[in-house]
Amino acid sequence: MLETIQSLALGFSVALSPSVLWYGFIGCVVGTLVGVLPGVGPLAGISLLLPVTFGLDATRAVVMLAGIYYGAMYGGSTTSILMRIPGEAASVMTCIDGYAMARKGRAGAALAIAAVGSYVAGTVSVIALMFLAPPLASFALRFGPAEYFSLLLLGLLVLAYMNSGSMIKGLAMAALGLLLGMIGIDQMSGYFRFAYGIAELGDGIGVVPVAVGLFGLAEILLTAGMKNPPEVIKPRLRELLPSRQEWREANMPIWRGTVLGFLIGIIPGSAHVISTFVSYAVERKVSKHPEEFGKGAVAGVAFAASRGRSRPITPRRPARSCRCSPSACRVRRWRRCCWRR
Amino acid sequence: MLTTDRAAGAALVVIGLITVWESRRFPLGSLHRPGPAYMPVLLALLLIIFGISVALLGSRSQRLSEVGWHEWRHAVGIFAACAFSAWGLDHLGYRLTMAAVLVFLLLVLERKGVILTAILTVAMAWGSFLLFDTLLRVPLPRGPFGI
Repeated sequence: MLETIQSLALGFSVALSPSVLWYGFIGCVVGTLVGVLPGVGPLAGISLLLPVTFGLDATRAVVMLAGIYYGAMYGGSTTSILMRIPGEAASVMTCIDGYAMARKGRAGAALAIAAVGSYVAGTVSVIALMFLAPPLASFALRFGPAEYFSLLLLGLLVLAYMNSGSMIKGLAMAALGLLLGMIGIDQMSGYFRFAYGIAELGDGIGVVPVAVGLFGLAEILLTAGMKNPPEVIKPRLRELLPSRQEWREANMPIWRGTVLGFLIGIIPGSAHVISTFVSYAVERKVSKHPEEFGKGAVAGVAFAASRGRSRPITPRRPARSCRCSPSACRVRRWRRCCWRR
Repeated sequence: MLTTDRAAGAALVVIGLITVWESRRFPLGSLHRPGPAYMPVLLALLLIIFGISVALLGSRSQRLSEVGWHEWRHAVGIFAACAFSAWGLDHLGYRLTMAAVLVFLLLVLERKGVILTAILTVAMAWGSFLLFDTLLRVPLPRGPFGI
């Protein structure tokens, strides 16, 4: 414990020097700007902006990359809330309530709650990680194929449960989603399934293109069916900030999202994507107003944003603590990116 | 009576049938040793069952003829622009494709002014190319004469 505190003090003494803070700030600003681009998530943001750090020493480069990562994550929330386009898979749930709030003229409040939720979740998860890394590593290593399968099954069942409309339609969409996941190389046999000679489909279709495409497609079709396009709401500056009532509603979901996001992020692999839906369902279950979820619930935005942001540390956590890859695909992309340089 | 749910259910059944048909190229395997076609066929059958259920239970949903497509020109235009982008990036390169798509979306579809369209087109197509390709060294596709 004492050693951890000493290391922490040393880390703070380096990180709080003005020049390092400056690079962290630049990273956050640039990351937010890049993250606002639809479909560009934190990983793509880091990959794109990697050359910016080439001339820096290791400490400043790492701090700047961390800033870019968090900035891009918040930028992803912005597109989710304002345009209903998720920057990454974990932002999908922010879209639902965030966009509904924006349509009610509460976009500023949704963005502020997402920002505060992200800050609280990110800070708490970093501190918790420093003290809990060794036991977390041993727990993460126990997570095998059976556990992953169970989690996947749970995620699919929760999808059907979450659907506020017909359960059959929810299950049909889950089956359709799984069918889309069949495209690409079969990992067991090596067969090239449903790719029709297109090499790019060998890797399969990622969650982000599917989410961005389907949300965009749904929005286009919805607008096409309207008599008059939706009016642009121009709120006053004062209305951009959340009200006291909204802060109160967001308080507990932020903390629940932080804890749940941290615990689920321990698991190596892409379990966090499935867990995003599971967590949302849990929050709706414990909420006093579950009927508001999906229609612009403040709790939905707060929970989704904090759950997503307590995770950013964790994809790196298993890799650091257990020496195993959080996601083979990410590592491949990262290597491809480094190779190009 | 054709309702929206019945149309959606029929679409799901068609997707399921196409998947089953396309899966015939791969070995099916067995429950103990599933082949590459096993999961797609299983999911396709599930999709067919769900599609039929949606269609059967969909008599009370909105009639398809009642759905108004007042902004269909916008929707078709956007889809056409997306399709053109997918083709153009390979054949015309990033800058020309983006310029063509932006001119179409802003000038033709949104009826913005010529000057605004020209400024936005140049700024977006050439500016983003400069930022990503030149400064950040992300190789973007080039078209004829290296444009």
